[in-house]
Amino acid sequence: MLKRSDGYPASRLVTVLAIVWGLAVGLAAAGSRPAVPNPTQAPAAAPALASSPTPAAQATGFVGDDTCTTCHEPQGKAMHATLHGKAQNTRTPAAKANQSCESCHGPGQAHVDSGDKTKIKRFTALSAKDVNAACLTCHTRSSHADFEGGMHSARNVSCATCHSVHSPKSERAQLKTVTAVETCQTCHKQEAMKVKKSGHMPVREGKMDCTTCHTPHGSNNVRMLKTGNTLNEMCASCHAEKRGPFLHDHAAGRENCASCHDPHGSNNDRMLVAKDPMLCQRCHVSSRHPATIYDGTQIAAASNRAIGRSCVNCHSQIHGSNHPAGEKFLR
Amino acid sequence: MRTKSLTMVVALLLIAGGAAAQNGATPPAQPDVTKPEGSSSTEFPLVNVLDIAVRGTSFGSDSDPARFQRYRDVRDGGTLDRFRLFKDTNTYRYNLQADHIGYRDQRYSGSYTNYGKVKASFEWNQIPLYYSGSTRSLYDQSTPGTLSINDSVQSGIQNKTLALGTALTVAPAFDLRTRRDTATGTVVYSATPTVDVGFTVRNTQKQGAYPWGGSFGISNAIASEMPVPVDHRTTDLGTSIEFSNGRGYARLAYDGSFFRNNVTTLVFDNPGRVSDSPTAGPVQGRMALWPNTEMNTVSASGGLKLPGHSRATAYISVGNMSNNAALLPFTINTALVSPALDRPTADISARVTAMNYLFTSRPVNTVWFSARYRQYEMDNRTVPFKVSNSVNYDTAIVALNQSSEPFSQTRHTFDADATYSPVRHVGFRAGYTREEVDRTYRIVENTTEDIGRVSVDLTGLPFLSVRGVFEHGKRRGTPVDGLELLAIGEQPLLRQFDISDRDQDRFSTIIVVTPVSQFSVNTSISFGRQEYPGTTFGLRNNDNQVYSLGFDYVPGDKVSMGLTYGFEKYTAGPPIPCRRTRSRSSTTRRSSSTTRGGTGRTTARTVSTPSMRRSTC
Repeated sequence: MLKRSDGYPASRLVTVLAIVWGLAVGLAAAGSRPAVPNPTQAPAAAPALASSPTPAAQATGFVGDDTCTTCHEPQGKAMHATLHGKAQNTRTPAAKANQSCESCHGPGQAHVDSGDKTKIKRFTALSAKDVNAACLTCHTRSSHADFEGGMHSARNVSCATCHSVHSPKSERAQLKTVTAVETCQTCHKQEAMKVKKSGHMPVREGKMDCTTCHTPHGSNNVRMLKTGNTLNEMCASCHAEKRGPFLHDHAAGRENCASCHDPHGSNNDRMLVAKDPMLCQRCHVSSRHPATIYDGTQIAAASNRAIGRSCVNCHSQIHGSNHPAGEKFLR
Repeated sequence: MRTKSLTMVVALLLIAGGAAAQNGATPPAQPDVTKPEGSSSTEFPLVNVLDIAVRGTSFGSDSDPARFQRYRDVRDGGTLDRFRLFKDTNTYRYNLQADHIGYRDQRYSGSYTNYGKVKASFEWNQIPLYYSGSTRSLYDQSTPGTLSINDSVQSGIQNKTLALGTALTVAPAFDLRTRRDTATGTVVYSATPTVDVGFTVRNTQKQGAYPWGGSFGISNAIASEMPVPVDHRTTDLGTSIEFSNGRGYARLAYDGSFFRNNVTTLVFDNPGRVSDSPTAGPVQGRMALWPNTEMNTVSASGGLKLPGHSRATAYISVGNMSNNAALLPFTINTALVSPALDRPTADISARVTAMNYLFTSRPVNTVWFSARYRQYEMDNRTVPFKVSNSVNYDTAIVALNQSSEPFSQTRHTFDADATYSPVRHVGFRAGYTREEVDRTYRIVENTTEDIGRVSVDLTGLPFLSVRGVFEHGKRRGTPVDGLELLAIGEQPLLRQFDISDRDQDRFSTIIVVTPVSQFSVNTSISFGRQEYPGTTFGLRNNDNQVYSLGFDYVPGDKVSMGLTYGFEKYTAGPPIPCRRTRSRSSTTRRSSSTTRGGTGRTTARTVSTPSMRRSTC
């Protein structure tokens, strides 16, 4: 018999993780490689309203925007048209006077002096983790704070996989595609195809998009869901009528909406994962109802257990009932 | 409890650390300096648009206009389909947007941003849901919450002078639809360079009617299909304050959700009766529709950067769900004496506690790992509602001697993932998840699932991208007591698929080849397999295969095209083996412990259950 759970031995877990982490950091220190210049680290002293870097900045290898845009004018202009270019916002790269380019790309002096592309941080040549580390230096709030440790981070997805700093195409979020759905379906083909099915949420009609439910940066919820702590809480954020709790709860529904519904879409009514009554028969083969599949003969006989909404013709309060006689979800 | 205490302490320390970081924060060495304002050079995608058109749609005789317009409104006529107005300067930006103006699926939104100071946005979004344009019903919907049938029709059906089918043919047809109107307002005020304060208000109103079923009996039951009235409103409030700097963040938030239903009771005429009867059924049925409920949550979260490219974050939330709606009498049938209610209101309350702790580290450039512990507990504190005598379909009083089953659950999830990237384009990942669920009032009270996974991701190359993942999971639960299933009239060999023992494998891969920058070919392959080894009745296995092949061609910024073919196959079953040997010899099973729902009730019973030997086909 399995032991009833009373929680993980968290103290042991934390201890083991701390040891592993300590060993890893030790190994890293022992075999440390030459440090890559941190492009997001600003120089010790910065110019004030200056159009060229101060001697201190020059000493740390910064050359200033004017120098960068001498060769990279289109990129400079494009960047200043985006949110990164709004200098009034003190959190943006543009607020670093004359060093907005080098806020992300790092000191450019070596690159300017040699003309060598490898002497400056090029995001197309960085690993996903390095790209993310650069972006997350400033993007530390809200859902960005959950990026590290999220599914996308684990799968080598970088910020630059979806977003474009210099040439965004979307109206918001600086995506590489016009819509968020287009960005997501680049990888999530299966979900994108489900949305095309007859039972679907209004995604293809443009009334919702993937980010209505998911936050691609990461979240405290499962499956990178945007709100709540469970899938059910996410669903109930729009379908609050089914949230309950009810006097008589349908425990399976209370535990997981996705046991019966496929939120991305299905070819069944109400996005059910299987047709009724077969869906209900996966869990209920009751003495009051035939323990066989409701076949054509049942439909021909217009059995109220097979036609229309099948089981929920009578068990219409299947999500839960607040009626004192609602234990079978009939009232 | 020990676990909870420890983890809470860890979380609070982290949050405190995050908050403390603001005091000791070393601001960027370079002071923030505002540039002189200049004109913005925004051109794309901030383009002002006014899209005016005339639209016409033709439906064939066998087409379904309602399904075609399920979530949209494509009526004939002139349209102002898309309106975009932007203004963007170096200090502020606003935009006004409208879509499908004047139609049921219209949307309006606006936003204003004063860079670095305030962001405000508003949206009004209408989502129609069109079920049918040819619905006929005997029910008159003029009184909200009461669906009545003409007395002469009821008399005719009861006296068998009028057939139900005949009566329906003269019923008027109407549109069956609902509409969800959502208004959302959000303001984020940046009080200081490190502190944001946010407010969100969302109001969702849903009105209309959708298909519903009601019934009046078990044997020879009349199941009436009816348009159930929908008129409810949900108001969500959210506020938060967040501190963040380069070293960490701390966030406090409150979220409240208030659901209010204007039609909490549905009374519907019995098409087969014109008078109440203690044996033949009532003249009306009555059911409780969605009750008014509330949910309030307070949460705190924080994160801290640690040495060795590491980071720890913690999140704790405490919430309450409640429902105190007045309860209806057991029956509306005046010919029956309604049993007394155990209490006049639902008086339901559940405490929800959630925690989430995450540690990530990248101690060396090629290795990254994360560990996460998540706990969710829904502690339903409702006193069970005793039901000594109940009423079936308002037709008869039956002895029940049961109580409601306030469902509770606790989930513990541990995730660990490690990624190894020997070269910058390639990542190999291995991961493990263990989830334990404790629940009450279900036939399996505890399940433990172990999931292992490996993946490989080849990304960042201009001509090739490959992603593949394989997962294997195994879920096992506490033994099922067939007696419990027998007691509720279920097949004792049945196992409920969402909590039964399960073995599952999943593999998926996606490959994108881009020989030239304008053209790419993509393919995806997925296999999934689930087996329920302890299940004789119910879902025994569930397989899926999904393939897709497509291409994209983007000759320029203004034009793109693509085509994808997808194939999906889902197989559930198989049915009970076609050849089996039934052994009707009774097997005596002894159950020494049948505890349900943590009530502490322990009984010892001995029953005989038929056993079944199976052989495969």
